[in-house]
Amino acid sequence: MKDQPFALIGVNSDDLERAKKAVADNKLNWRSFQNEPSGAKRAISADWYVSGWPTIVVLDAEMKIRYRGHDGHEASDIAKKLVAEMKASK
Amino acid sequence: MKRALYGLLAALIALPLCVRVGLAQEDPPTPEERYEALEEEAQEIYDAWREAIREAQKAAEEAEEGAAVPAIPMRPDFSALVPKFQAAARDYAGTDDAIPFLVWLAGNAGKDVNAAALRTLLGDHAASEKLADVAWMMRDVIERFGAEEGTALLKKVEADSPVAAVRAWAAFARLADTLEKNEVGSEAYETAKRELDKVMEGVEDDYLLSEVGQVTVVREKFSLGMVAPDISGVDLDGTAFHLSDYKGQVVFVDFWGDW
Repeated sequence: MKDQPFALIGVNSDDLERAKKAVADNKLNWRSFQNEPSGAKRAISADWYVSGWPTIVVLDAEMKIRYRGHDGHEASDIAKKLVAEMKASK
Repeated sequence: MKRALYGLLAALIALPLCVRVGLAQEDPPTPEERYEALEEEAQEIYDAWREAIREAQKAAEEAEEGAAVPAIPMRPDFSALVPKFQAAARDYAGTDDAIPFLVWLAGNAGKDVNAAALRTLLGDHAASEKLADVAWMMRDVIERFGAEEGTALLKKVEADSPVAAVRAWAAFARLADTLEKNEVGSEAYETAKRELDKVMEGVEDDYLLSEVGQVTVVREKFSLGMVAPDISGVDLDGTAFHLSDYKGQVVFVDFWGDW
């Protein structure tokens, strides 16, 4: 999905060392928030009431929620469709 | 011959031991000791079950394709232990000492027995502070006992418990169904929500807050078509950024971890 109007943003719940190792070991190329960086008042997952991992939320260009759930395939399909719609309307 | 001799020797050594144990006035076990001993037995059964799973998995891996593999039991078989926990719960009936045994039964015994244990736990011990640790067990009381009996049990806890978090769990268990089944903004939903908000005031039980959030905040703020709240945070290198930095693109937000 390079050069597409698309961004993959992670929210990582591991401790920092473990998260960095996972990124290095698996050559992950997306940017992630730390779910609960030291000193944070509340975890992002708590603010978003995420109850199971992994959870995926797909947002359209206006940041409207178009998918929220645990099914990676369904989420990808919805995201691809949104990208295709955006390109078609240009 | 030699074996008989050893047997005799063993009997001679054991005999005085038996006599001594028999004579000593042993105190009966305390409720705590009794619970620990039963818990240990349960642990042994659990460990054996885990071992059986490992063996079954190994057998499945080594089996030839298409060959039958042994079934893995869904859960450990505690049926031999259940009567012992029940006996203890009866011996301490009505006192706080019965609570751990009832909690174990509610969590591990078969269908009818666990329902009976939960009923006793809520019916007889609603006023106990010890209910605090297991208040989450009330989550599916309505589902298990039906609306009429379930509501009565929960209302008793709401009236009798000295612990705010326990009262809040009971109220949540009682109102969750109404919240889930009615549209956000409908009168039924909003009335139930107001009632729940009142008992939730000052309660800091994370599990309960998350459960309440699932049926309220998630639907009020994270339904399809709603604008997601922004996130301001730091990436894994410590650099600050916002989710809204990516506005204008399709954003796939993945809550992930490497377990």
